[in-house]
Amino acid sequence: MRRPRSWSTETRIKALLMAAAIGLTSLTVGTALTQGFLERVQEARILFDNTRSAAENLRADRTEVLLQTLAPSWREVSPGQSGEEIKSADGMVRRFSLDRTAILTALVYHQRYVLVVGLIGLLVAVELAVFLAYSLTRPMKILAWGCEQMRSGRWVRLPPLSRSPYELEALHEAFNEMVDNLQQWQDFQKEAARVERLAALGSVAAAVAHEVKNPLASMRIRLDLLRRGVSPQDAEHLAVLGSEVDRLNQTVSQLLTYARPGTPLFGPVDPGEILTWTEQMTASSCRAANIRLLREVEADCPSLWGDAQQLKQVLLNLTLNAVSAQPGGGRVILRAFRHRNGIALSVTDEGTGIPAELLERIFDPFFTTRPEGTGLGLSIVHRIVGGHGGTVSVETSPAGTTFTVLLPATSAEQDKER
Amino acid sequence: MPVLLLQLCAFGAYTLALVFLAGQAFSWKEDRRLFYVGGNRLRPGPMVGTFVATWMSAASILGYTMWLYTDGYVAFTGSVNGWLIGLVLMPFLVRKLRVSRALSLPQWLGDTFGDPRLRVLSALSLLGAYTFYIVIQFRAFGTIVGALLDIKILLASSLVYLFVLYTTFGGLPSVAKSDVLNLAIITGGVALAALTLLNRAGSFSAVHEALRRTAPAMLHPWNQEWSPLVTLLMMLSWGLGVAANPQYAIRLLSARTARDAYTTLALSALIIGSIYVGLTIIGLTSFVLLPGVSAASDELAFTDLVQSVLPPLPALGLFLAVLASAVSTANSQLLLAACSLCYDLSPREGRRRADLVAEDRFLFKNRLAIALIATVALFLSQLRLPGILLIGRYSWTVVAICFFLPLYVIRRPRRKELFFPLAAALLLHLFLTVVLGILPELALLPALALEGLLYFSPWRSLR
Repeated sequence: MRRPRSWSTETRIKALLMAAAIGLTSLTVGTALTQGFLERVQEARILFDNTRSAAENLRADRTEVLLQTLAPSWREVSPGQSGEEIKSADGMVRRFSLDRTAILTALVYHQRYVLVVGLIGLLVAVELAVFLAYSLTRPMKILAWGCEQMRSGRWVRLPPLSRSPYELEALHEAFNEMVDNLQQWQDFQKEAARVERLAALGSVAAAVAHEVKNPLASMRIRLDLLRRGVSPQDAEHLAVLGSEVDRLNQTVSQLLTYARPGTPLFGPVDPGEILTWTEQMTASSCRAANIRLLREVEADCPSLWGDAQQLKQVLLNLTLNAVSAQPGGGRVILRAFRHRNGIALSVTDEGTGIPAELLERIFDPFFTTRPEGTGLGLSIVHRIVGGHGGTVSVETSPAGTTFTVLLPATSAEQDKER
Repeated sequence: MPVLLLQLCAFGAYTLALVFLAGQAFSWKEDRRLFYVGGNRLRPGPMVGTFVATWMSAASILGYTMWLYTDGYVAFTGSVNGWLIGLVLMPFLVRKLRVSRALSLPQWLGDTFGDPRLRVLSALSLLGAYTFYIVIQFRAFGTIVGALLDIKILLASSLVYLFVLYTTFGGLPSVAKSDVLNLAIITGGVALAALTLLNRAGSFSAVHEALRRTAPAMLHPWNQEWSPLVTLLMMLSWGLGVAANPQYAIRLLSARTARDAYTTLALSALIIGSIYVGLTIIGLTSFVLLPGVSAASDELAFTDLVQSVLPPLPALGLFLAVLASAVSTANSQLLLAACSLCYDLSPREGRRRADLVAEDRFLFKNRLAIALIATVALFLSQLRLPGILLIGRYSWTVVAICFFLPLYVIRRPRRKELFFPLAAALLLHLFLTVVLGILPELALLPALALEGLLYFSPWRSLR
């Protein structure tokens, strides 16, 4: 965050409120003191006039007690100095002057609590000004921080504000909504780019696969013909060649399936049937890898609306992946159950999980971590499920991975068609 | 101008100066490192300001002056000498502390000995010691201003309470800024009072001469009632307490570079020495001019004495110096107490690196803690508690037990082996002072000895 160049809002609010507090306190205290002082001077003058009137009727020796009541507001001055005169009945003149300092001292003492409380009030007002400025500018500071984070490519959501003015709350909410929309837009853009990339790749792959498939079929036939009448040693070489050709053919077939999955033939599909088929198809692989395959179908699980062949392909690919994820043996669980958004088919293994940094790429074609893999299995799954209007999700941890395929259930109308 | 009005105007001027010059700063880019240790970027100027102003507490100015006025040079031997010993030891801390990136001394202790329990124990001790120490500042200033203006002590203490809150809310940068102002007031006030008194007495030699005639015992550096050994032990305890005081350690951590820290220590020693000379002149000259002033408390006696021996303006300067020292020490201690409460006693806060939002929330909690601790101290300052120097002694000794050995003596820390010796030392100190009624500074030495014995003893493996 850059250092601000000019005064911050906080400083301005603080300065404004503090100036107001200081001005008001000074004005109030100043007015109280001035008014008190003027009143006391007025009272002193009245006292003086009354004393003078009373003294005019008394002899000088009897005025002493009376004149003492003038203190401390009036002090007697020496004969040569100027002052206001009090003449007694026998003609004796004494001069007095108003002692403003004494009046002010008495006033300040009398008003000392007001003055101290005024000082305390001033400090409290300043503290409140500081906290008011603080509470108003903190949300802005957090907002600026949020923008800064976004600029650096880090997605942040601002915490909900409590006890802040609603305008600032609205500002934070608007920022969070903006972040959500931007995130959705970014996800959408990513997906669109991926689909575009895959479509282009699919077209190329289909063309190449088509050109390769026919020569492969021809090679396979020739290999079968060659096998007759060769020595056992050569037969072994030919068997290896044959299996390699088969593997190549399988890859090409997968590539074609991925590139041209074909239009799904939708109809009601029994999830239990798909699971049973998958169990049968993978039984030998499971035995070879010392894996126990379990099948759990929820009672009264409704049927799916989809292409049975394509969905079998989905489950087969996921199960074969789960088997290869546990080279040391273990369990693979196939499940079919109701979900609030349709029917879920899941495949769970007890492998070591998928590293977080690879999760984003596992559905990309040709992405694989296994040396013998084609990297097309999960791409095909993703494409088929997408074609069915469903979703594939992954939950992974060091204790295992679950792929869940969520597909729409058969609607009432579709059931009737059934 | 009436003296009362002059005093009120002076307090008003101090308020405005604090508000405008020291201005509370809630930095735009604020985090806990900036709040607690100024981002480790304090320059020598503010460092010297905050170091010396924090050093000169109300207990230093008022307590030392009155002790000097009562007992003469033994006060210098027993307290100032000790404090200066602490200052002399501090350069040894600089490198040791600065290699760590700790934000508080309890954190440093916990990290160095690999034992979170140590951090909690020392943070609890600091929280208690500093809360009581803040009480001293509130009480000293409240009593003085209460007597000066003839108002309730609570009202007067509320003033210093608000000054302290205002300067602490902004963290160490705000404390350091206000401390520069406070140091100027302390130095100016003490210098003005000392020069005025010297002018009245003629010279310092004349003061000595008068003391030689009227009260020769006051020139004696050792107390007549206590044995020299006790005075020496007291001096040593004060020294250990100062040397291990986290207030100063944290300032050494806050310096921009180690070189700045050394410069600060050197310049501070000069200024501190000058202020003590000024206070010594005030205490002894006051005795010569007007012996026999006594009152119900040190604070009241100080008020009477200053008003009697000094004209209104220098007297006001000295009272403002007490106010500035109370504010500067209390805000520093308040910040450390809040740090102990919010940072050291909340283990989760210590571990995670928070983003701005969490950091903002954390600092807000600190500000609440500052208000809470200050309010508790204000309340305690209105209760009948022992004299300010005694409270200070308790606080310093507890701090010394927690930090002296780890900071100065233990060269190779062993993991998790200090907690038991430290806890035992704190318990022994509590027993000696509370149950046996021994002075805290005297109880400190056996407590430290026990701590060292348990830590270094060959039988430690039996624990």
